[in-house]
Amino acid sequence: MSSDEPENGAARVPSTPPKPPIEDQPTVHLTAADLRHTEPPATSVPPVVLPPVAPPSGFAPKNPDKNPDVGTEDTVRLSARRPSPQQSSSQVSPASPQRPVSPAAPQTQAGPSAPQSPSAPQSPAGPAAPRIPSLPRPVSPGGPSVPVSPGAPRPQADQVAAASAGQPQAEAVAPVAPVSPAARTAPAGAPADRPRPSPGPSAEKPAVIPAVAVTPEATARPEASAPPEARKVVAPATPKGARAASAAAKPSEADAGGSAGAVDGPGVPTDGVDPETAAPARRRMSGTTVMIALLLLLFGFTLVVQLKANDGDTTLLTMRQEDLVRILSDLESTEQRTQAEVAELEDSKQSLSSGAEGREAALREASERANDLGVLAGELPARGTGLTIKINGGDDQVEADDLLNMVQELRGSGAEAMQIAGGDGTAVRIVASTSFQDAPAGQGGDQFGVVVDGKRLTSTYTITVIGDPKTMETALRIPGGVIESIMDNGGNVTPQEQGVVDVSAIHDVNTLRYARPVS
Amino acid sequence: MMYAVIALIVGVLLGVYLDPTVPPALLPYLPIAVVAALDAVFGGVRAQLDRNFDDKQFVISFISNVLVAAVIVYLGDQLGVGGQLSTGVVVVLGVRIFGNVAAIRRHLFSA
Repeated sequence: MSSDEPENGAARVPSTPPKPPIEDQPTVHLTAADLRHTEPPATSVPPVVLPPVAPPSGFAPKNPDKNPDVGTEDTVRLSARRPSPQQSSSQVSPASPQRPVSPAAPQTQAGPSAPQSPSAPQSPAGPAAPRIPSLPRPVSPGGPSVPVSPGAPRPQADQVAAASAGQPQAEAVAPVAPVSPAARTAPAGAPADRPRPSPGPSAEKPAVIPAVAVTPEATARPEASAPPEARKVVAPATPKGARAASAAAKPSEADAGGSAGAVDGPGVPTDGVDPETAAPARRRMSGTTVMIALLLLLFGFTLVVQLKANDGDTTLLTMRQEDLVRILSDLESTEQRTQAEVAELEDSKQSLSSGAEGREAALREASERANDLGVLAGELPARGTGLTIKINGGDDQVEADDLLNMVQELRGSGAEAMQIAGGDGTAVRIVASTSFQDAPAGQGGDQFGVVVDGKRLTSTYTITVIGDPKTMETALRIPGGVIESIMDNGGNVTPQEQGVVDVSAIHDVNTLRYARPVS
Repeated sequence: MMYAVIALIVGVLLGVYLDPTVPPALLPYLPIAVVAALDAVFGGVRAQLDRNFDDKQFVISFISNVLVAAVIVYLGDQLGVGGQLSTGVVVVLGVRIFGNVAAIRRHLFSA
């Protein structure tokens, strides 16, 4: 709004120049104009302001529709559009119709004064033009001023004395009577509501209020003085009123200063008012702006800080005591479970290690057993106490049956490992599957010999056996036994007891084709 | 409005580059305060769109929102119901934020 006001003032100023001739009227209008918006015009050229006033009456209808501020803006623009004072008269006529439109009450009261207004518009051009225009204008602005009717008598008288001045005063006065109470009670606060009712036609309420206050003074003083005062008062008051509650205080000041101050006065106040009001407003704006900026800065800062803090592993830091206690108990129970698991694992480890020992023992045992079995199966060379038996005889004296009988006798007496060697030194390990067979005739020289496990052996045969020598020798010498039967056939058997004998021949291992161990 | 946005951006950048650590005493209240401020900011944006934004009102509502939220949580902590109360505050502020965002959405998208 502040920005708008200056503009308005500027707009009015240009318009004012044409009017200077009719200062009185302008002054009257000025009051209205001031009331509406801007003082600057009043200060610069009060008379100029007057024309705008007439338009305001026309605008009055608009004002009621819109907010006070908006209305003021509109009025300002209108005033700017209608610059020339002379036109004001013509404008006035339109204003009069408008008056009826605005509030009915003002019109009725204006009735007495109304006649003047119509007449005024009708006679705009003549020398009376100044007064006439003023009259219509007062009426129009006064139109707003229902109060005008009471004030009307005075203004008229004033007008006679001081043509234009009196009318403005009358206008001011008119509003005064009705307005005064309202204005003093809450001039600035309710500019919108109160201004409209009393000024009805006139757009600006704040203006009315100050006008009222001023009016008394104006009326009391001479007519000439009155107009300037009205202007002054109005000028400062209007801007203030439009702006804020501060207007209320200022109007009072305006009243006091107004009486003393002359035309110059209005100019000063306006200048002072604009900067003053504007400056504080800017300061206020800047203050709150800075505050908002600071708050938002803080907000962004803390937002990021919080986001970052939440990002890290500082979750425990933000937790409450109860949550921490719960977490602690959870951890404790977890620890207990883990401890139990540790003990369990220790046990299994021990059992496993003991199992390993057993396995080693078993392995040892198994290997021992494998050795034993290897010796028994003829797969390993063996050494131990035993006998060496030499058998001498031709094919007729020693046959395969004799050798087989001897081997069986030795097994029966506890032989553990045996081998048989021929006269040429060929040795064959005797195992469970060893076979003895008389060699077929016709091969070789004078002796055919015996085939043992596919190898042909000839005399002298040497059997080396590991076992208990005494038992075996005794078993061989049994009467009617193996040795005796060989001796009977003409053979010769010589068992020789030796301490340790070696059974070095090895039986070739047959890989098992069908049998598999059961396990 | 620009200065507000600029200030917000500056604040975010400050937070990013300064990388401060939050005092442990404030840790429980900072999140709540941020949510409360978020509510005030959305309210301000909504008011701006409604064309009835008021500087003073915004500043006061912002500060009071933050303070009241923090005080409620603090009281809750002293009474032993800090967790529940902070949850309640977050719920209330969340509802308000949703309302404000809905109004803003209606303004921006007319839907």
